[in-house]
Amino acid sequence: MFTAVLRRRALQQTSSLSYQFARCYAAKSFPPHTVVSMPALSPTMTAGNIGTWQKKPGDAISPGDVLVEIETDKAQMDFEFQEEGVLAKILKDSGTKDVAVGNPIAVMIEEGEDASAFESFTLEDAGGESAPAPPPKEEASESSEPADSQSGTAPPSSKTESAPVPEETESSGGKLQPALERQPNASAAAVRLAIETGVKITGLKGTGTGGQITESDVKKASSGGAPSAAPGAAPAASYTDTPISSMRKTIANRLTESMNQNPHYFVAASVSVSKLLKLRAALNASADGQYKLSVNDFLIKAVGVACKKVPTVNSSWRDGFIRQFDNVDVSVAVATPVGLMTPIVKSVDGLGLQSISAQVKDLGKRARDGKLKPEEYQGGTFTISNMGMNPAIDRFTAVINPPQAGILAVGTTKKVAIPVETEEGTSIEWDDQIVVTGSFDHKVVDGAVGGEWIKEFKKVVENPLELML
Amino acid sequence: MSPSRGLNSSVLRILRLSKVKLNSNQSRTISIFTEIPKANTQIYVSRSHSPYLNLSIEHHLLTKSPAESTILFLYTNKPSIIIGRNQNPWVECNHAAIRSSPLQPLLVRRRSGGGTVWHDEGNVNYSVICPTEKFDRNKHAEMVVRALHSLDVQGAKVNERHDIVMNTPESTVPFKISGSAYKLTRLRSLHHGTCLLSSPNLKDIGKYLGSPAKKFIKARGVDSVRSKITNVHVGNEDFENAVVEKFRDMYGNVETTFVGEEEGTVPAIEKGVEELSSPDWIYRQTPQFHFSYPSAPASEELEPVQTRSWNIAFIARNGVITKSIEHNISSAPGDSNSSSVENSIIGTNVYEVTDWAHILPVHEQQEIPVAKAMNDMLLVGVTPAQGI
Repeated sequence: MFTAVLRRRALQQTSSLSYQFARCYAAKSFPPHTVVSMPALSPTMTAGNIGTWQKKPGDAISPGDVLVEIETDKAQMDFEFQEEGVLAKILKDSGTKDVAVGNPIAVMIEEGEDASAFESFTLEDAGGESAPAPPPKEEASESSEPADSQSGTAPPSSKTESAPVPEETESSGGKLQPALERQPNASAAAVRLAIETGVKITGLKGTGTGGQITESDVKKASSGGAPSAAPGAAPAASYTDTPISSMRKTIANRLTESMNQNPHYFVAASVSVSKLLKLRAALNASADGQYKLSVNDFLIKAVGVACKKVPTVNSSWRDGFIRQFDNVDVSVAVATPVGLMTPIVKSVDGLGLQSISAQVKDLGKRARDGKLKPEEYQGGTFTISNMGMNPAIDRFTAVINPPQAGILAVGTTKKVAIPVETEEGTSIEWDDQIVVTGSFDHKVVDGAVGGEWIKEFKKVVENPLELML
Repeated sequence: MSPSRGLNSSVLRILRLSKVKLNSNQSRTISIFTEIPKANTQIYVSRSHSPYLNLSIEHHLLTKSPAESTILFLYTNKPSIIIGRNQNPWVECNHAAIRSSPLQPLLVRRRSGGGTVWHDEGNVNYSVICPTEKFDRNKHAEMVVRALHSLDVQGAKVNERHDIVMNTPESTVPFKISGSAYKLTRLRSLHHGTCLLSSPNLKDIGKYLGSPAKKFIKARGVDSVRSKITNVHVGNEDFENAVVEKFRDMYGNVETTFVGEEEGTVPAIEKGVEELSSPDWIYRQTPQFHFSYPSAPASEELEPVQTRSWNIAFIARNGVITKSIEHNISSAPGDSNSSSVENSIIGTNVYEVTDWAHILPVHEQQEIPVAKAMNDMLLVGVTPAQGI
């Protein structure tokens, strides 16, 4: 009696599994079957290569049997099938590369059914394929890339809340996600439409009940972008193709995400640094070899002061709330041979110029050597990007580093003529000025608030002795 | 905290380690560790230089060790070329160079994924086996980097492909010194990697791993990613000791057990050696590929060739030819002459061929150079049985 109950339950389960697939393409009719899709054998896996099939059509499978070997990013893994059945047809042969997670790879039937009926079963009968899902917001596709900074980094990654997660373990505890949970939550009509129009259904947000992806979502997505690659153009003249490294991919993803998700607006100011330069010269003269302050050190401190005076800017947009930080941790953009990195000077508001200077030098050197620890470049509440050493750059705008709410772009020093009132009338003096452009996230920082911040920044830079307050 | 105290303690540690090493001269066989109830940390160093034996020991450690244990295994192999689980030996290595090399390098297909690497006595391999839930691609690569730092190799670091690279004075781009590969099973996972310490063959590695057949083969399976390589210039024993020390820092102080040829008598390991050295495993685990000469294959499928010269193309599955097309300028495709050639080579085991001129009935002058070229590229070198 039990076997009958279990069989019925197994049957019910199979039929609900095949719901997504068997009902879609009823062009030919096949006996009841289940389509096996490419499993996600790790939380970050988006595609894999099919290795050797350990079973052939007609073989019986018991739970725990290895069905096929899968290789992804140098890792060889066994796909252990957890249900009972018989392998009816292999849809993806050994050696097939880059099969996306969720795409059909084989067909299973119940014990006793006829496997030969599936000889002519094709991929289309299984529901067709879709390209691998684009790397989810928090994760890089295959590699373990860190980077709360604007770029991926060479140093090893660990994890933080918003940094891409190294695969297989750590934050999610490494539980293997069963293939079943990976079926997109979409209505049958939506799946059909997605396949017809070539839209990647896994990337869509559902607006139906329970977040289900509906036909209209798919329609909107298909009219939105043209995803597929155009057929190869006529042989071009000479060019060089560089494969995209994971670091490049991470930079691309994070900055695109930032541009898409953060409504950037820019506030520029010309700031007089004459007094600051004088103060710097004076302090460096009495340094006695202990320190050598740079203009950037002063600016970092000024950023700290401004963030304390306008704490709205020292915040981060989170899910359902805005977090305002008590400390000001400034990410300092450093150019290294591998790319741009942003090591963090923590609690700038509590540090003196000498400590800031020492830290920036040390972090910069270690960033160039690739020896930063993850906590030294992940985090930060505000970023400063100084291109003042490039004499061609008057001003520029920078992209905000998510999940921060602002970034300051600093141009080069220029001599500007300013009018000065004297007893004889108006004469001209030369003033050293730099143009700073702040980019702010309007979700967190309103226009007037951004303006306030720039005002405070300018005030303290133009009167650097106020840094002591 | 004072520098001198730190130096003393590290000197003491090195002395202590070498004492430990000298004492554990007894090499217990591996089968014993399964009997140790809570052998949570184990360290093995192999004295054998046979790649088939070392990889089989490694696989035995992966499959038979206690579920919660973490194991370090260090081994060095004699000159060999190790291809990944799903690679094509004709695409990945230069068989002509292998055949003519005085080193007589062995060809080995390992069980983990990834690309092709060169092993020799100047290259030490490290392998860490741990529970799958603790698996992390970088953790132990980082450990090896710390070991290198302690040997004063300051420029070493892990890159985004989980390889270990090192800065060199000649270049702004770091050079690769170690590659990694992984094998994951449900409970236990393995991360192993090479480390080029002082390979005398550094300049030739590119020659061994660069196959002229590559452009004539369109293969399924995994491609290697080429990188510039360099030696670390550190002694093997120093490296081993440093890695063992860092491993002990992470997982606890345990003795090193030496293993070697005696392990070859353990039945599971013996079976593993047999499997790894069999031509069936090395050559016939090759995913499907399409070979076409002299006109390079355009896709995975066989197509009639648009060329004015004689062309032979075939598809091989599991290393055996299943389909072929011969293009003969003196006869039309489908001609009885062509189809007899095509049919006659079906069923040929590519690695067993000793002379393509015998397999392809060479009638005409232009066919001889084709057969010669195929011999050069496809003929297999030393058979494994000779090389164990």
